[in-house]
Amino acid sequence: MPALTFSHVSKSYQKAGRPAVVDVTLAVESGEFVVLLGPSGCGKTTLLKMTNRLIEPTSGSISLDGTDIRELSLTSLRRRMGYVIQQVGLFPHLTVASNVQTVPRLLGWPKAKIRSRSDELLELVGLEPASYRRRYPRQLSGGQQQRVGLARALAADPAVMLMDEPFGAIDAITRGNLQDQLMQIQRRLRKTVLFVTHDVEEAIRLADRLVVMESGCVVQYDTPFNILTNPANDFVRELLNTNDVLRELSVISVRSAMDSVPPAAGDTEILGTRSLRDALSLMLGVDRASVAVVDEAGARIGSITMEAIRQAGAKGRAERIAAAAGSV
Amino acid sequence: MWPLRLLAVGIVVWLLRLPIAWAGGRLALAAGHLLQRVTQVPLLNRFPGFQYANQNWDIVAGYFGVHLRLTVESLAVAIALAIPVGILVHRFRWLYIPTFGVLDAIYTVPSIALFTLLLPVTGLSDWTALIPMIAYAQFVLVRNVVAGLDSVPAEVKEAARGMGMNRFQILSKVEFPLALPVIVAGIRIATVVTIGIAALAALVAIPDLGRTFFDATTNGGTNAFPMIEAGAVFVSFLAIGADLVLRAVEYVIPANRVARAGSRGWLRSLAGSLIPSRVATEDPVAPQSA
Repeated sequence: MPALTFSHVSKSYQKAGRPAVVDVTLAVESGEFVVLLGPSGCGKTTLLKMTNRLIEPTSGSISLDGTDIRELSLTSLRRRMGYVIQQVGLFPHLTVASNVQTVPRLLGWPKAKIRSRSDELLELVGLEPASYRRRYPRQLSGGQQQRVGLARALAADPAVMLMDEPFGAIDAITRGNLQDQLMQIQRRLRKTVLFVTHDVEEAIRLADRLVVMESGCVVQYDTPFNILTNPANDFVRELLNTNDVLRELSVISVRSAMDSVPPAAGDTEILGTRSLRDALSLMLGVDRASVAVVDEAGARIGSITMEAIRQAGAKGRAERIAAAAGSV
Repeated sequence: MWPLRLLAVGIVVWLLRLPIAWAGGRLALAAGHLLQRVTQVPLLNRFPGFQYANQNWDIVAGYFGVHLRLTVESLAVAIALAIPVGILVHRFRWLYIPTFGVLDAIYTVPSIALFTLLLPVTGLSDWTALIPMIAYAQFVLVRNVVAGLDSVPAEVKEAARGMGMNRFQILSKVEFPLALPVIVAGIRIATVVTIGIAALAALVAIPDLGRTFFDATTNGGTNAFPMIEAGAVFVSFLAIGADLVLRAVEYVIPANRVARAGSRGWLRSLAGSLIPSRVATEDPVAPQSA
């Protein structure tokens, strides 16, 4: 049973010329990280907001775990979903801990559980509880505020997370750190996530599957790799710059292309979860033809070679040529 | 949750109203004696006004008490009215122009006129004084309630909505606490304005501190100036005292405490709060008095 199902969902506003969302049908599986990607005005935020009924669809239906969301009360629906927005929206008159504890308090959890949960979450997002618990949002940087926003959304352990360009207002350096943190958290918690962004790099980096939207319609819904190798039309081709081999390498993990023979000690190392693009960059940087691959614990599990990267690139090119030939 | 706690406190106060009134009465008496001592202080007792007050303490204290009582009663009603009206005007924007049109018109009418116009309607009762005082306070209070609610950032409300708070929870847990500094500033201004206007209620035979002016002109004789001085000093006393007390209340409001968190020391913050600063917390319209 898919966690979220969109069935012919449309939204038009009376005064606007064209509809905001046009006949969207999608299924999001449980534990999937789905990114809604598209230019401004393509309807991605509107689609997201229809999921927690901040906006009501003009037609079509959305189901959560099989139940039509219109059958659930507004507040109980929203308390089952984590909602993170670009401007964060932390309550300025409450401490960090109180902010994080908002939804558990609304749900009436026992006090001890609420407190331990907020500490647990602050640790999870990389903020040491003892020093951050009592601070006020005003005293935090933008990146720290959004971490608290993330902790707040995760507090009641929702099944679904809705994130609307959460890192859009944050500087590029901190954004990278937050994306890493988010991926780490997602690996641990495996939430169903709907993430809206217009940043193509971010989308490709984070997504299990990507929804490319234009003018209210879903143009393609597939894994980043499949979209890059088989773009549905010129719009997708241009948006994701699919002819860029390096971009393609960025969605293939080192782990999937490595030889499982760990090299002798002394070589440079790279984490197995990183992409072939990072591996290529590392190899060029240290001027070696191969580097060792390690897992998260630091143990060596294999090695990645320049040859393997070359073959991955060639495979992609072959598929693109075949696809182009097939469409002629 | 604070609305329920407030209700609980209200019920307890209502049930204990008699003992509270008795205790309040004794407190007032003690305070009165203390105040009388103040007029006897070495430097101050040179002023003819203080001498008059000391010699005729029951009269002056009586006027003072009435003045205070009227102020508190009118403000209680005014606040109870202004908050719902303010919430409605904030929610339904089209009410803004009609509401402030009416309130502004009332505020523009000189207070003296308002008092005397009500005489045929309410006679020589307290209401002749209370109604104009309440109406005047509305202008300041409603404006600050609306401004306070408007000052809540939109993204904070959106986050609250998105995480599943219902309308009432958003109002009580998010909007109201954040609007409170501006609202309390409005209460402070309204209090000072009301104390000033109340002095004119002596025109409609209310025995408050304004009465000293009439006592002076009718049968003051040599005591005329001291009487007036006494009245003026005690009215100012009341106004400044109320202003300071309410500034202290403003100081401890959670939203204001947050604004100070981690910034300069408590002494500088305290000093900063006593100096009139932004327009939003000070009344740009000169209060009507006489």
